[in-house]
Amino acid sequence: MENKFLGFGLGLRTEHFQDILNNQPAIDWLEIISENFFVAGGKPKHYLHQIRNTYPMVMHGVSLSIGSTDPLNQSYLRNLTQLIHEIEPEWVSDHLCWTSIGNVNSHDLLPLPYSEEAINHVADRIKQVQDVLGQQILLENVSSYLTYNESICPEWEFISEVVSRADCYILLDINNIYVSARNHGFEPQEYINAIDTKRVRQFHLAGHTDYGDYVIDTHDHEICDPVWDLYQLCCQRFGAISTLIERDDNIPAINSLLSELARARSVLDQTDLSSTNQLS
Amino acid sequence: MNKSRTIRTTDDKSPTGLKVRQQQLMDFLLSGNPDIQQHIAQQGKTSTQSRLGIYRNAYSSRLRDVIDIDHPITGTYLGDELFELMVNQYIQQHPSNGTSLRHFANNLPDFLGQHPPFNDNLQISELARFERILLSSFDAADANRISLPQLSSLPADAWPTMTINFHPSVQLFNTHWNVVAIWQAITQQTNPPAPEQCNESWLVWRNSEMLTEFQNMDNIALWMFHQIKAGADFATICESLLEIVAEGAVSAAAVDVLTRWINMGAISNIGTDTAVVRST
Ligand SMILES: [Fe+2]
Repeated sequence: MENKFLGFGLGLRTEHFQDILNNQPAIDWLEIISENFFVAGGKPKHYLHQIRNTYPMVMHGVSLSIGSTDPLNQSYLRNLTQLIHEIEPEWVSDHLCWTSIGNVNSHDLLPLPYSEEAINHVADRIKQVQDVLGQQILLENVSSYLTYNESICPEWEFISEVVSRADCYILLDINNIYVSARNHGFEPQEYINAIDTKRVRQFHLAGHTDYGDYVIDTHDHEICDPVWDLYQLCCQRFGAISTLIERDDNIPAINSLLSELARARSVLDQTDLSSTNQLS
Repeated sequence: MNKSRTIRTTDDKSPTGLKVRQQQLMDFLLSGNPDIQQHIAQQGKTSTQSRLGIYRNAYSSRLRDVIDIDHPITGTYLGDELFELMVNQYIQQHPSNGTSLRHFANNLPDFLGQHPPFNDNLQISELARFERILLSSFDAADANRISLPQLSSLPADAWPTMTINFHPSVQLFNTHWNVVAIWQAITQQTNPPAPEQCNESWLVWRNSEMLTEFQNMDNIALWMFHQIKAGADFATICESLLEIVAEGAVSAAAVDVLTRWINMGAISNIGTDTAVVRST
């Protein structure tokens, strides 16, 4: 999978459907939540197809449950395959986590222990999913609030080992690194500098809620300054990587998100890319 | 990481550490079972209880939001206190089994019809059922709609054997309560009428502008609806209508209902012995 730089994109939200269709704002690309379009028809699908005619898209899932010890959910994979066929996305991503067990879905991105058992299990399942979909996928690092006693390595070693064994790619959520760093007391720079530059194909940027002793990944605020600083570091390390701003709550008019996109663009523009480690 | 330590975990039958841990975290989310707690690391100022609590709050607030968004009218009708009671009990009793939140509240009408205090007022369950029918019409499959000129172009000898197919969004809502009037009043932000028992049948469908509509059905329309769903052809429908319509008036009455449905955009196609007449 080549590193295709799509530019600066937004997560597609129903609140913005009309605005995007009527005004075609200058957004380079859009990311959809796959499961929101696992419906037969009607307005959401209609808007999706219309918007797809104008904008490059990627599909981002939340229910693959790649880390679950349940069998892979075949009907989920069929739905995903069907939507891939309809949308022809640039790529497909989900999260390095688990969401369901025993056929009960938490609809949350639950953390895995960073153990050999989990690495083997997840890497095997990613390979199976990539076989079914006939393409490599991207997996995103999640925000987490707890650490299991059986974890034997930091998160960055876990994710590096998983993606290298499974031969998949990383959707690096820079806000999630910041949130987890605050919650677990590690240095976000150490995380970023440990990630293989050849494996990262997309960035996420988002806002969070700071409770002092801990931080929650709420996607309901603007991106904060420490996350912008980490974004700059990521641009230096990884070069031009397709960048997407996520907003899921307290959703503002598109213009205010466009100004955040402009800021991301200027961070990359001001990065001296000749010194990056990006190889491809 | 030393790969010689790798433990293979592909045998689904052996309960692995990972599987046990996932079940424990899920049990905590569902019921507050504290077994997981001893497997969570102590880190910094935030206790393991608080860390787990972040996940439990996120779990219930996400599911609460789904019910709130899917059932705004039932929510308003109940008022805040009863709404919270309903949400808490429903989340307890009906964990999500699917990958899409779209279906999480599918069992809400039955739940409301069976559990106190809600089952003392059966119109609540009916109101929720009406909202779910509107939802399933909203994102039902797309299909063509036949037009009146297409019906008129049918040769006279094709009429007796013609079969009629509804648009996939068409639903029948049969109720013993005046919940459509209650729904309309709350939607218009006026006081809902007192609950009243009545026998009403409503046709719910999505029109060609993709707006969900509903219309009260008279006896003849209801009769024809059931005949059509049972696969009856036009001659059989007319013959059966003799039970409720005077002999000379049958075909005019049937054509009248069919014409109305076609104008509403509720008919996808008409099948004849030799061909299917479809909109193009
Ligand atoms: Fe993200």
